[in-house]
Amino acid sequence: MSALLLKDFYMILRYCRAFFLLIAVFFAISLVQEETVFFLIYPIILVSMIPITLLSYDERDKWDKYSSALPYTRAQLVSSKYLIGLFGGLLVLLISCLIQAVKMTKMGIFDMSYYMEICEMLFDISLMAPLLVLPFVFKFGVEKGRIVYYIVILGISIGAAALTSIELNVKSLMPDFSINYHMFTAAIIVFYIISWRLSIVFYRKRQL
Amino acid sequence: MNALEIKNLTKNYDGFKLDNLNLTLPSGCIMGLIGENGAGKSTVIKLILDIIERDSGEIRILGMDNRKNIVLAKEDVGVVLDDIGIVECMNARQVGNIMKRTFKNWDDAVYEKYINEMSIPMEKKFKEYSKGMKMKLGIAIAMSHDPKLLILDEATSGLDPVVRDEVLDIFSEFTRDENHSILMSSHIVSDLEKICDYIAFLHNGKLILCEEKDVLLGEYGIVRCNAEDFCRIDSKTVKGKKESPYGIEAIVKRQFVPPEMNISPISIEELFVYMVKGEK
Repeated sequence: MSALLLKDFYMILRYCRAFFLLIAVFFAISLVQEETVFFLIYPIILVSMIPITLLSYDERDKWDKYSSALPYTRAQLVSSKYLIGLFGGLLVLLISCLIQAVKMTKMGIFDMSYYMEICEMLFDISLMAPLLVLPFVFKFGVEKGRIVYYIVILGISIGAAALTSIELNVKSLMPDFSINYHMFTAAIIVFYIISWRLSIVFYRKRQL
Repeated sequence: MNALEIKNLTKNYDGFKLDNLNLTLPSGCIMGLIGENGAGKSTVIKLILDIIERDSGEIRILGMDNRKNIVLAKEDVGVVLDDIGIVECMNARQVGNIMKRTFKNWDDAVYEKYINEMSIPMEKKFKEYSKGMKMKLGIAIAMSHDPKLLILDEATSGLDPVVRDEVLDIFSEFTRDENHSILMSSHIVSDLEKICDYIAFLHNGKLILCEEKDVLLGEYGIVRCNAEDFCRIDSKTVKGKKESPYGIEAIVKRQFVPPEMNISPISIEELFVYMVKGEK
């Protein structure tokens, strides 16, 4: 496993420099733009897409086939990408949370429970993209996987729009928002673990 | 112990079937897997390495079942694929660092020895290598963890004759140890003829012949004659033939040809081409 993580680390250093530049720019802007958390969300989304970028280079260079001929298990090959996503995501999340704390303190509005809610939301966002995309990528390959991912996102959007059109009162279903928010985070973690397991199952069956 | 045992191996694709393949590679030997494009050579190699799932059959690598013990088996197998598969942004030093953490028996000194012997630049990125250099790095990796079996898929294709000769020398040297074996697929039959002990012909997913090279070369020959003389040869001994206005060239089993007929020695390449054409 350490070999796979090292290989991905080398690739990140080489191929993801633009990502880090963008993330640094967004962090800098977020310190100036104190009212919004958008500039903290974007770096998290960006870094969560790194495993997919790495997989796309792996496929281009035929590493996917070669690595299957080396003494790695398919579970290790999948897990390395999830771990890289987690390490990167948590690092950027940590910086984002620190910046948010600085911003709130500077504005004199620091409230621990509100701050924790924002951090929790950023954490959820950091897991969302890999959770949804990686199983498709491991089943169909990067290109087809991306298309399937867009179809799923489209389906979710249409579903959400349909729900809105029948004027479903969501708030009536959520009497205590904060409790449900924690439940949402818990659900995201559970789905993340399921996504990880599912990716392993898909990749074991994939004919390279 | 056999380095490789394949029994009743079958794999179905749309429009292609690898049909009931049986193959044994004894330890200390080199086996050449010959076949035209699409004959099933890469499929066999992928099945051995469990990269794709077989429909039926059994494969044992160095005595181990390739499904139950594949990770363990791969520790003792060096692989060079035709696409190589090294990530383009990396240099040989970084690849070495990765492989050191991949193989339990990785030997940095051996790796550096091959890198130096084959004049592979250590700090240059893989994408800047020539095709020959890329293949050499693939071979250096495959041989630096004390493998018992090398599996080479078109490892000499795309190399110039000088580099090919160097690489073949390395493989010959490798099998001087009687515990070392090589399974090698190639289009370049002359390479296989040079170093292989056994030759396996694959055609349309079927193994049409698997025999010791020296036996093949002793057993078969070419007869060049006219149509009248050709009729005197038992058709069952003819493995393939080519007719032209000047006469007939046929691959025959020497022992069944009338003694007065002149039989020329045959190369493995000629044998393969005639057999495949004969099948068609």
